[in-house]
Amino acid sequence: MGKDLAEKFPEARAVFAEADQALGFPVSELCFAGSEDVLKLTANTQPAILTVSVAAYRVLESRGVRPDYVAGHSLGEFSALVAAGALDFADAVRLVRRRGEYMQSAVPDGTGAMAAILGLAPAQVTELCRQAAEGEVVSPANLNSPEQTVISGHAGAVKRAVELASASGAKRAVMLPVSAPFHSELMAPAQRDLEVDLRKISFHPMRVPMVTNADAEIVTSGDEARESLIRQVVLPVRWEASMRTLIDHGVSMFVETGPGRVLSGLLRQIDRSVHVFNVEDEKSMNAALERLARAQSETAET
Amino acid sequence: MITVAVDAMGGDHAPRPEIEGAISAAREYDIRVLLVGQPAELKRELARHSHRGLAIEVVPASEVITMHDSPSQAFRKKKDSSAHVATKLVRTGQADAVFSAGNTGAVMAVARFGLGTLPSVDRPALAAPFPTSKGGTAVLLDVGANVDSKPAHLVQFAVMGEIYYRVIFGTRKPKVALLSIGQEEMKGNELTREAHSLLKRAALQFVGNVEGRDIFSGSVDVIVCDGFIGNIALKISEGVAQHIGLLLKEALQSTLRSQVGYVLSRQAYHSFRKKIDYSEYGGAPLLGVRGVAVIGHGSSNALAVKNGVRVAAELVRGKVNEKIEQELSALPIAVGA
Repeated sequence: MGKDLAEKFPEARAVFAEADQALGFPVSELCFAGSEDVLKLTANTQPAILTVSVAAYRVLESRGVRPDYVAGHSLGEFSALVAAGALDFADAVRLVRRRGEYMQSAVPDGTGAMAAILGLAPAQVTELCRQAAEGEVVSPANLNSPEQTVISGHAGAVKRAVELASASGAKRAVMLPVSAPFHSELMAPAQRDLEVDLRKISFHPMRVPMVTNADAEIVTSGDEARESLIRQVVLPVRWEASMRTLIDHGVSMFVETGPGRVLSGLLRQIDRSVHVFNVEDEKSMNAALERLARAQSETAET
Repeated sequence: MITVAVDAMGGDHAPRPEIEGAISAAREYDIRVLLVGQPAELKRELARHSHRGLAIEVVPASEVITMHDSPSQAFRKKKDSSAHVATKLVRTGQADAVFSAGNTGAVMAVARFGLGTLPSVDRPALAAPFPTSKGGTAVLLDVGANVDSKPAHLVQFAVMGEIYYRVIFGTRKPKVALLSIGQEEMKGNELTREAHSLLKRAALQFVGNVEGRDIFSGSVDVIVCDGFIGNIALKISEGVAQHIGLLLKEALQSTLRSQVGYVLSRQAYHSFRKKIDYSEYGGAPLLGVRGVAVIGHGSSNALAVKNGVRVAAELVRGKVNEKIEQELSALPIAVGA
């Protein structure tokens, strides 16, 4: 991922070089040619995804694209804060590398699990988790869309919740091949470690506001942003609510930067009236720039 | 009871085959049919047939889209056409499905924009069934709902085509293939190469690339392609079939001996005709729209209309849209880490 961007755009290339230098190892090679096994380790995944996302953003920025708001899904909140000018990219990439390590080691292998529940209302999934807990931890981890909720917790409790969800008419309820129970209270040890790191970093004033994962509310200062990054480790990503907050603030065009177009898909489930496109390679970049330019000239005309 | 709205004014010979076919469908398959069109003409035609006790009603529509109308013009200007009204019956829940043998481009536009696409579908696709040499059916899609498609669209076409195939032909795990210019993965253009790599990872029984001639071989069940290519493939096939039919007829009538031969082999000739007769297959569904829309050949006869109405009802009964939505909304999943 991101190889095409680095080859075609100098602004993107610079981001990969900066990441390699900040981390002291060639994360760019991991992005361009890393095997799936290596990339699957969250301590590798996190800096890799952040780097590709910021690389795509920097190209957009160099072409004069400026967002009015930023938001990021989980790890993406770091990318969002880089885009908003609150975090230096070098700091961000080092932080997420450690964030990945902390999250990986917070829970012994095999104790935690995650699952996706599709086609049940988020409130219903929350209720199922309560029923399935039986003294263990299981709770929503990503409230992604009206159709899609990811849950997280102790492996046994997550399995029980999946069974309950299937029995309650979920379109699909599947265990996910994920190594740890992200965004659950089992991540408390990781949260403590990350908080220490985050308090050492200086956050700059934000150029544009961000909608937070933890509360789906708009924050405008670096300090608030830092709190959000700390809190989200053990709280669900309130993605649907975040998107609705943005739409309520008048946002009608969304650009997803970074590998994949999962968030674009979620937005379409949330609200089909907004414009969504993603940028992950040269082709999608050119298409996005063209559409943004067209939208701009249309606004100028009216 | 399933209700199918029939655009009774759309076909080349409308409304006669539409009405005859609709009556047979209502009688044989226990389907409620709403005949949409100019009431006077429809009632006059209906009076020629016995339809007592059948669930057949006439719904008025003042305008008619002809085969010569430009699809976009007809879609925008003839808002009270039989195609528009029949589609509206589906949108408002008064019918479960619509069948039309009208101007394909216009009907497609009316269905696509009148019904809207399913939440998880990017582009609808027109799926055409073909008879195969093994006596079965192969489905080719998209045959013209889109001109330019992206690799991800082809994957959605594959999923929709596979579900349609399962519902209509009862095959549990249809074989899905990608139309290209050679079996090797690396053959083809950028679109087919990218689509190939996506299809390999999809939850389908994907058997790889096939060439144009494999559409008829029966070795695969669902064949996916870009709408531009698909439409050309469809039209060439129709042209070849017509051409061969003419050549055959000519040859059979050319000498006295062959005429005697023709009389003797008439049975075989008819069974051959039946096999390649599109009317047995009942039209092409526009997959991915909210509601069921089946588009028949302009020259549809009563049998084709009957089968088209039957296929429309089967798609409703088989919950094809629910299955498509379930399959396509399933992925991708955003897992925050």
